[in-house]
Amino acid sequence: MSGMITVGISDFKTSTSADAVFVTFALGSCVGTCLWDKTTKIGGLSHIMLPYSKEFKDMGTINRMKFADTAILDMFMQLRRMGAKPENIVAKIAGGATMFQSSVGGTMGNIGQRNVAYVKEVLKQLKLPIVAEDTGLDYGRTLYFDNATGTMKIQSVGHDVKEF
Amino acid sequence: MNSNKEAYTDIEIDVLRELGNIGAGNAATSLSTMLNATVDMAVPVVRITSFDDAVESFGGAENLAAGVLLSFEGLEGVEKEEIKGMLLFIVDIESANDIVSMLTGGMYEPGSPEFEEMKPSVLSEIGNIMGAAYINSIATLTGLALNISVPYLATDMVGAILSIPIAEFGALSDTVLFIEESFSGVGKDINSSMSLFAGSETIDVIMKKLGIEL
Repeated sequence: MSGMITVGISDFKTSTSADAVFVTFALGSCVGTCLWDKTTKIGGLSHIMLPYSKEFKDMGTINRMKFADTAILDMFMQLRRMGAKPENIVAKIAGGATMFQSSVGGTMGNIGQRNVAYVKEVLKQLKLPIVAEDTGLDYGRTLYFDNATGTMKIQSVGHDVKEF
Repeated sequence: MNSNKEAYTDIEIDVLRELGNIGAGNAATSLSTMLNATVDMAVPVVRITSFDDAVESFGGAENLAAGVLLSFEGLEGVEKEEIKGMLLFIVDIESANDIVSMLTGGMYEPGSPEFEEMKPSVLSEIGNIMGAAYINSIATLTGLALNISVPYLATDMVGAILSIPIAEFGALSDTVLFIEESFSGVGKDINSSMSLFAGSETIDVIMKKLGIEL
């Protein structure tokens, strides 16, 4: 498909093209964040893996696209430089599942929940409203984000396709 | 802290491969015993790859699989803080059904409510027994006292399954290290693998315990 932009793990991409469709595959505990200026159709998609970079600051160079705090800030600044107006930018988020369950009850860790909570905190600090959300629960999600319409489409195994 | 270094010497890689060979060999033996069938093992592969390449090595992000994850850590003592790792048993969806059928003697038809209800606990238990065999052999080799968690199961896209070990061991670098061992030839064409994920502190302790001077 023309204009399909793949976002990897610990990555973000932005575009000013109305033909652009972003995709990130199989979000598990990771969180995908779509930022979109509805007036200029400038948008971006980030795929973060961990909540905050602070605890790793003193341990060498970090990949800023891996962490919610640095990735979302950097993507927001890049969208602004491309001409997006902060007051027009809205956010849609998905992912942050709890993937692993024990058959005797209990789950493996809570990294998904922590990722979602911190993404929300960063968006709040940047004063970017979350207009759609498909987070948590216990399954993986592939996220498509259409830069022309601002639609976020979620595909999962054993669940209907959802559009936001 | 689970850091990660990207450069290992040839000797370290050889030692890790041999560790995987012994651990996975014991895991394969336990699978073979459970299923009463031959299990073939490839040569283990030590992978130090980007996150996306790690997902590719398991058939691509949207490949459907069942994964059983166990974490392990050092028991009391100096190693407690330094030893941390995860074992991941991955089997593709069709093979998961075949394994459960073999283990339960074909009692229920795959897809039936009884079969689906039984499947999670059967798969978890297979991963548990294989994981314990793997970890016990590492504990014996290194003299480390290791504690292993209960098994956790996810049946989903491989990319989503791998997000947990990758997040755990990929914080500090953009690569993740794992020792991957593929199993095949169980009765029908059952493809599965067992991978050990660990941070560099854990690997350093294991090397020291094995008398490898770095």
